[in-house]
Amino acid sequence: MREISLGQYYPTGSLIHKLDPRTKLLITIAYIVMIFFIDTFVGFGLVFIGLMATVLISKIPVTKILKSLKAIIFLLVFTVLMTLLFYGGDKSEVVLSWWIFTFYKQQLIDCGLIACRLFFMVLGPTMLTFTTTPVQLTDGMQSLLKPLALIKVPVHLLAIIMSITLRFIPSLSEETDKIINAQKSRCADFESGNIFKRAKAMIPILIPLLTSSIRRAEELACAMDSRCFKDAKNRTRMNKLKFGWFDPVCLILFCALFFVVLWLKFNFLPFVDLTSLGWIV
Amino acid sequence: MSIEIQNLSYTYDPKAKFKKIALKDVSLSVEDGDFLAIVGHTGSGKSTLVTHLNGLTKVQSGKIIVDGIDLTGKFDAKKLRSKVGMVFQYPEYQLFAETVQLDVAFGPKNLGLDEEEINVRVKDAIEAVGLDFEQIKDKSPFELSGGQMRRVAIAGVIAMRPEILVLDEPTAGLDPKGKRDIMELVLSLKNTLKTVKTVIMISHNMDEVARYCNKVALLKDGELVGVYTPAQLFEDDTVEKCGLKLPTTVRLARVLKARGLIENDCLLTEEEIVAEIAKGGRHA
Ligand SMILES: Nc1ncnc2c1ncn2[C@@H]1O[C@H](COP(=O)(O)OP(=O)(O)OP(=O)(O)O)[C@@H](O)[C@H]1O
Ligand SMILES: [Mg+2]
Repeated sequence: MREISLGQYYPTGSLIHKLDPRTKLLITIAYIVMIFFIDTFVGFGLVFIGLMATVLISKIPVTKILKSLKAIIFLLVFTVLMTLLFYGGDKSEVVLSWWIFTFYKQQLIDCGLIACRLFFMVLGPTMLTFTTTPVQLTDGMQSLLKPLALIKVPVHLLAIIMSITLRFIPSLSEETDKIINAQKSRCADFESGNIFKRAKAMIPILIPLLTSSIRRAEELACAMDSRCFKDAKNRTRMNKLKFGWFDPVCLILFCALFFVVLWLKFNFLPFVDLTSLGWIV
Repeated sequence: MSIEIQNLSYTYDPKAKFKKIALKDVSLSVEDGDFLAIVGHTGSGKSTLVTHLNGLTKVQSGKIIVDGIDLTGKFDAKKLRSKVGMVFQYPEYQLFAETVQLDVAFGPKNLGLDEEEINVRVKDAIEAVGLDFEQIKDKSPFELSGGQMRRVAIAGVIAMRPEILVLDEPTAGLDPKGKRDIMELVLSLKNTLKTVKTVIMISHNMDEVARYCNKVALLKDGELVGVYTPAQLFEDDTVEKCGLKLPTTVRLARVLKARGLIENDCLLTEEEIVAEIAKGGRHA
């Protein structure tokens, strides 16, 4: 079977790639939460350093990462424009006044913070998908969700459904190519005409695709049934998830970062008072 | 209506890290009336080669000329595809319309023919594949048997009246009787339909190749090993070196010859081997 890149996994075999997917998942989830606690540029600076380190260790070319951020440029620009146009906060310090626009200091700061928040929000999970295959992600998720089995959530079944789905995506995409080619051979035209005509032209692709996925599902069900598949409760796996030495290192470093971020936000350490350092906010 | 392929090479994802060279410098010509088999181990580039013939795969390097149409530059895809009919592997999986008649009419409709002409062609095509037009035309293609579905799918291509019929493993997934029926059908299409002059068939089944084809192109890892007549090809071990099996008849004949029971071992059909054994019997 030919390779189809799912998501954007970029294999380099780096330490980050070799991390246990559970570590990466946990850190990514906590990372997203952390982003919401940050409201200073110093905080974002720290996150930036952490991310840069991750990127460097992962050996993924920076251009590759920037390319994957293209999708959010629109969102970023849109959000920034919105904050600039409809600002209702602190209007004490005017920085710039031009034509009908007036910009306030707090407005610009808010704008920058929102942009940073969006940017970092996307970058973290992007690094996760760059360094982790979908299969690893499913395995990791299943392992992390295990406690839910205690309240009778069929985690093992969900996991097997997910991995079967992943397994089917390349097959279906291959199938789609084939069907498109077959209908093109009969001079099907997918490119001309208005939207309605084009939508109608998709029918000769969609119906065979639908029937073939149903057929495949049925065949798979039969095959599983005939091999006595009951449920996946005691399924063992070929590649067991294992923590290496780098996993605790990463977790500890991340916890440290999270701690600093929380401290910047809540200023709870008795011996240093952040409010005395005015420049931080 | 000849096909000229010159120094054709093709690489999937040429920009990717692990590029996949599917064809290397293949030169081949097919003449009117040929029944050409393309054989080779799985992944040897057979499908890639044939999808070039009706412009589904763009020529990367090399040259293809089909009946005077140069596929290297810009060409009229509709015109080409009405000349070169392509039946893919498991064609029954590409049926989609509510009725058999509508499905078979899909190709001719896309060619922009008028209603009357379409109806004539659909009827002819369905009958040409050995089905009863009146009985089957209003059925849903999904309620037919596997063999019938495959015939309907082939009719869908025949209805475009191609001069060259290309089939990618037309007998895949059928039982021996089904295989023979489809091969006899292909042969009869070639012999009885005035339109289909040339047949090109990808096959993994050397028995079929030995029995039906007059020319065989052997591919190995994207390279053309050679073009032979079946008798030439199955004379020695060339096919086995390329990971394929010899036809059953040839294997049997070799055993018999080694035991001194018959004299000739390049026997391509069951009839030939029966005749040879009968002859050998008289010698003994
Ligand atoms: N869409 C594609 N993308 C990338 N590589 C491909 C693609 N299609 C085919 N290949 C590769 O190109 C090579 C030739 O493929 P091709 O389908 O032409 O082989 P084949 O001779 O038809 O094989 P089979 O007998 O299995 O049908 C194979 O190695 C295959 O992995
Ligand atoms: Mg093939």
